[in-house]
Amino acid sequence: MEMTVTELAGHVTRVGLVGRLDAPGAERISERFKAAVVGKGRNAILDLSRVGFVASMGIRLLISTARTLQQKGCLLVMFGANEMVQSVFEDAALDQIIPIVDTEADAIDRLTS
Amino acid sequence: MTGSPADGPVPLLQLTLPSDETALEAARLALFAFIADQGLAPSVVFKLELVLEETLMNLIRHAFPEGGLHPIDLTVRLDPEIIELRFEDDGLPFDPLQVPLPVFPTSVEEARPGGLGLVLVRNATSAWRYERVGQRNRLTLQVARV
Repeated sequence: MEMTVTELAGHVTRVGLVGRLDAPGAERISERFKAAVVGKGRNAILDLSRVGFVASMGIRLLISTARTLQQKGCLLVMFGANEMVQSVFEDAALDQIIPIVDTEADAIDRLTS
Repeated sequence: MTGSPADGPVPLLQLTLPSDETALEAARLALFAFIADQGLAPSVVFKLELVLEETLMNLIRHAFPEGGLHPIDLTVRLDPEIIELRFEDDGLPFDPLQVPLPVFPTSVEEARPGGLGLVLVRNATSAWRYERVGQRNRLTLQVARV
């Protein structure tokens, strides 16, 4: 599991994940991911377009990270999930508690709307 | 198996896995190799991976509270209509079918871990069966090919 972090204009942190968000992947990335998303105390967008697989441990990581960010008064918006990842998110009702949109532009719009 | 005898023996993958997280990667890679020539849709492969990971994680985390190594036997069977995964272990009796579905949260504040893996397995499978055979659990899960 790899990760890229970019600070965007408008005080937005952009994090991109690459790889499998399964139990081993989530465990390996957990601390770095939380620090990247939450550390700056800014709104964050998460690019999932290069995540090919997700399981419950990955979803737990997303929920706990979004919760910590929310406690700082900020929002996490995810985008770019492939059809199968999106389907798992819907089965887990994750889309009901963390905004998931199609594109990066949609994610930025969601933060500013 | 609904094929004729001329189809030959039913292809089987049989693995004995350790009851720790090293089992996940070993099982996944063996499963990939076994189904490589089956021409399965990516969505079916995804479901198989999900069933494999969630079931193994559940066993590893909950079935053996006293610790120690408890081999998990996994048998994968290819059928014309389905792929079947059978897990056998000597852990605590546990019938996942009896677990009520979790109440889904409406906010990240409410969200609590637990129960999610079983939901994903239920949604990925077309049939499943639990049996307690002597001192062992046997969980048989089927994923439809389409």
